[in-house]
Amino acid sequence: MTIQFNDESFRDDYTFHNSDWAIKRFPFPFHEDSYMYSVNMEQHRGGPEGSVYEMRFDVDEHYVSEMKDRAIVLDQDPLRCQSLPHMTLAGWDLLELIMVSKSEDYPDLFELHRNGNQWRWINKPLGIDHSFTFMDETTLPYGPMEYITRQAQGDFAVLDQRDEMLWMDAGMVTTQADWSLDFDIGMNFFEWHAPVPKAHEMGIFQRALKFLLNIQQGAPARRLNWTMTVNPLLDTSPENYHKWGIQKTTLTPENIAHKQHLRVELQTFFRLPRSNALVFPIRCYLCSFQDLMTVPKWGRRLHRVVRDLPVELATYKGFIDNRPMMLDYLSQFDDGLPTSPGIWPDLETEPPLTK
Amino acid sequence: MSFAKCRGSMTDRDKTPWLIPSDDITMHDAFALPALELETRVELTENHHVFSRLGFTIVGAGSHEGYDRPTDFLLRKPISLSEDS
Repeated sequence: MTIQFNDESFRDDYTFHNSDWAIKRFPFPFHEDSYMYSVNMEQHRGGPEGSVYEMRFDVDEHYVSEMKDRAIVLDQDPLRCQSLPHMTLAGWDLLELIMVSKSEDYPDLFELHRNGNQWRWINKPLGIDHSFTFMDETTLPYGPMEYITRQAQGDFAVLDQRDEMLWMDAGMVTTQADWSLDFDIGMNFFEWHAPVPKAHEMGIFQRALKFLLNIQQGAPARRLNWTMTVNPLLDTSPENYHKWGIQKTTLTPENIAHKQHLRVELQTFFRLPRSNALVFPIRCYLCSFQDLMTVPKWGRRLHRVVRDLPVELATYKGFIDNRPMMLDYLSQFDDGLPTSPGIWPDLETEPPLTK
Repeated sequence: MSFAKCRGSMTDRDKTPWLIPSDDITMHDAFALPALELETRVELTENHHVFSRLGFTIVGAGSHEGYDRPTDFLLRKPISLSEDS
C-alpha cells in the first residue's frame, strides 16, 4: 500500500486532518458503552489488515509532519529527549528494533542493509540515506535512541529493569498527554504513576507491573489509553501548559465539532535483547469529534462513555469543565440503539443514525 | 526539610502554579516552611517569565547528568502568610 503523506501542522494554524482511510482505522478505545481502568493488555502480534495493530510500528499519513513537529519541539527544548548514561546500550537495541521492523514491514519506504556492523539505513519519506557503524555513537549525528526516534512516530519511554522494578531512565517524549520526561526520569513504575486516581486502590499498577516484568523478547504486548485534547495538538506537555491549557477555554457549541479531539494512545511494550530494558512506545492518534461521528457506532458509544465517566476520571483527563458542552454535541448522535461489542466501526452491520 | 520543592510542576492536574498562593498558605501553616523552590529547564524562557510573575527568582543552576553546562535553573519564592492573605 502506498501512503500519501499529509503536509499539515499540529500547532498555530492546525491544518492536521484525517483522511477517510485514517478515520476508519482510528483506534477507537471503547469496546463497550462504558469505561473503567483495567489492565487491558494483549499480545502485540499484528491485527486486521490496514489496522493500526497490523505492523510493529505503525506508519500512517501523518508520519512526515509528525517528525517535523518533533524536530520543532526538540529545537525549542532539547531535554525532551534524555538518556541516563547506563541506557546507551538500550538505545542501540531500540535502533535495531525499529530499523529491522520498519524495513520488514514497509519495504517500499524503508531499507536496512547490514554487513557485520556496517549498516546502511534508507528512510525514503524523510530523505535519509545514512551509512554508520552499529554500536559506534561517533558515526551517528545523535545518540542511537535520539537518532531513531526522530524518525519514528510516537513517544518512547525506555525502561530499565532491575530489582524487580521498572525505572524511567531514558526517553523521547514530545507528544505526551500532560506528563514530563524530565520530571519522571529516574522514577520507578509506581512513582511515575502516582498522580493517576483510583487505579492504585484497584490494584491496577501492581498487576500491570507484574505483567510487564515478564514480557519476553519477541513477544510484545499492547494496550490503548485515551484522553481529550482541544485542537489537534501533539505537544500537550506540562512544560508548555501555558500555551495549550488556555485553549480548552476556547471551545464553543459552534466549534466543538472540529476543535474537540479524542486522543488515543496505542501503547506497546517490547523487551530489548542486549540490555534487557523494556521499550514503551506511546503512539498518539487524534480524531475530531465531527470525524468520529461519521461512524454511527462510535457516535452512540462515545456519548454514553463521556456521559457516564466518573467525575474523578473526567477531571484527571482534563475535560470536566467542558463535559456538559461535549454531551450537548454528542447526544445528537445517540439514538439509543444498542451497539455491537468491540472497538471496530462495523459500518456494514451497524444501523445508521435514526434521529 | 528547609524548603518545599516542586519540580517542573505546571500541570493541569495539580493546577500549579495557579494555586501557588493557597498552597503557600497551607504549607506555611503545616510546616512553617520559609520558601517554595522549583526547577525549570534553561531553554524554557516562557516558563521563567511565568514563574517570575508569580514571585519566583532564579537563585541557582544545575546540570542534568552527562551535561557539562547548566541545564536547569533553581527558582525560589519566599512564603509570606500575610502577603498571600
